[in-house]
Amino acid sequence: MNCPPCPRCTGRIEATDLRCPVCGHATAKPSERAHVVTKTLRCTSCAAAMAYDAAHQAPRCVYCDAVLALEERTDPLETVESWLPFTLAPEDARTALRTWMESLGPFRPGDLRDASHVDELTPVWWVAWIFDAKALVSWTADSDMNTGKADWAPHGGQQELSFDSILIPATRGLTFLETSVLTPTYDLRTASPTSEGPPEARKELFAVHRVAARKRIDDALRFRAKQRIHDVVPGKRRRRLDLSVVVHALDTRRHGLPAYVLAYRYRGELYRAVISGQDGACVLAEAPWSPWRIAVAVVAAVAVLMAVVGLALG
Amino acid sequence: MRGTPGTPIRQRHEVACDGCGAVLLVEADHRSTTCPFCASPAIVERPHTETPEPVFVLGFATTREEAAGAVRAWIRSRGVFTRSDFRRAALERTEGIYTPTWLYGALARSVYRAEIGEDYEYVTLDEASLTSENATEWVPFVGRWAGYIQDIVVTGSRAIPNDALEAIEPYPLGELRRYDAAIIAGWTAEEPTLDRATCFALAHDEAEQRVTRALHAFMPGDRHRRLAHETTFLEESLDLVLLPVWSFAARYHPSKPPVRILVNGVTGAVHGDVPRSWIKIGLAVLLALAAVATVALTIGMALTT
Repeated sequence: MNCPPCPRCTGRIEATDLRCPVCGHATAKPSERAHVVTKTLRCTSCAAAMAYDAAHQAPRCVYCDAVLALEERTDPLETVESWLPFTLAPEDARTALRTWMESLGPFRPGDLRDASHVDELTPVWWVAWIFDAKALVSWTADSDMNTGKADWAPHGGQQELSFDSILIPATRGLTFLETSVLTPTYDLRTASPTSEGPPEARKELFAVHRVAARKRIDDALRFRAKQRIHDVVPGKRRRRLDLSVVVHALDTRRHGLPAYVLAYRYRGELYRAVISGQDGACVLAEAPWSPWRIAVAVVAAVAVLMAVVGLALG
Repeated sequence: MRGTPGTPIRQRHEVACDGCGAVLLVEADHRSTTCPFCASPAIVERPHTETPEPVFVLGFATTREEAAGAVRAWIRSRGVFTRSDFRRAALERTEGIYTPTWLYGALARSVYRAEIGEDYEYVTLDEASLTSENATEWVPFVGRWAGYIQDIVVTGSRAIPNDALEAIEPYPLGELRRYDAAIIAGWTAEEPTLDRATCFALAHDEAEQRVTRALHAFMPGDRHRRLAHETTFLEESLDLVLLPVWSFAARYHPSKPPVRILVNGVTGAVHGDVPRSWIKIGLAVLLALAAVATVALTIGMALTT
């Protein structure tokens, strides 16, 4: 947890890292020794000398066949480090859903609010990575600015970008759209190592190992860098944008973010709703349309149109 | 600070076997030994002032039999100009060696200049016909580039030249382990026999080449020429890594020296210098000349008639 940052890129190092995941700097530190000595590895069960065995990729005793387990090459599953508290109680979530139903406009069934019944209300902490980073980005591209005879002219530059609290969803339970709507509703300063919320709240697990997680974070960072640099390239049209990204001071945190997932029933049909656990105004849900009301509206619109046309012609 | 070849950096040591107490004589460039009295495989640990401690090690993942199989398949698949007796070569002196290598990394910052070519089409009107032609407009271009240089491995052993190591690379560096004597127990492990400054220069050269390659790929436009760059390497690191190498001696003729064949101890990649058959090459050249002469003659005769 409290490893000193990488001396080359000042990024965060986990306790089990052998090399910096960003720049490859070694983290191992040798201890001091004063004399030349020999050491023999002894089998713990029969005390015979052991030798490394290529077939087992571990030391093996030739007499009793015991295999010594080496320190694991670690690629642990990601785990949540801090949780954001639920500031919205389950009852408030139900109210939020009803308020949202009222705000839906005229083309929904009139009894939607009163005839709907919440079948299931699950408070859940969904998982996401949040990273801060700085990056020195060198770029080149062709653009239509300052061209001569050809349609394109070369452009290039180098600039420092900084990324603050970029959230990358790791959840499998919520859709990408749901996570992007929920994200701005959270106050990341409320993160704490203990989870505060309804006792029945479920904690989603990161179903991703660290190496894969780092790849996703790195991809997200490069994608965002490319988006930002895209706007920096002068001209109206551009092509062949190429980037070299030197990431430094990368700090990634693994958060659990509070949300309510609801299933409500209206006339036998089930609908899904997601509400932020920190903002009752953020409701993302499906709701039925009222075909009858839409038909009336269409008929009315056609009638008005015909009346206007009739008046104009008459 | 370059070490002259042939002179050992360190002295031989007398060390007591921790199994039976016998006194072992350990070669200066060996990190492991086997006690001749009790057959215990032992690891030699020296003060860090005398020899650098390995930081990482990659354990052998191919067995002796697998490596020998890979070598035999490799020998069989050599080209037509290989000496025939090489295909029947006997494999002698097989040895699995943990070879000292250096892992280099740095942050590279470059200032580059080049000429960028953008293609265009232009239309000319001559004698009432329109013709379009392609041309390239060249523009001078300068800029800055920065990138991390990682995973450069260079030899630390006089016994294995860098190009031989490169031929059996890459090693899966994602599977490195922190150095642990248990991984080299029972195997030959070498101490670095090339001095650090030499290896550093070697790694530095390779880093320079990587930057050049990266810059060529980085240039905008349809084409470019006259790319030049000045690069500084910051935060350089050089860590000692033991990599597994199988070494075979293939003897194909009693009067010729055996050919050394190296095998990557993880991936099984094989490299060696194949002895060529000069008779076969000479015959092929003669055959080619004869074919050319026949063709020329035929054409000549056809033209005269």
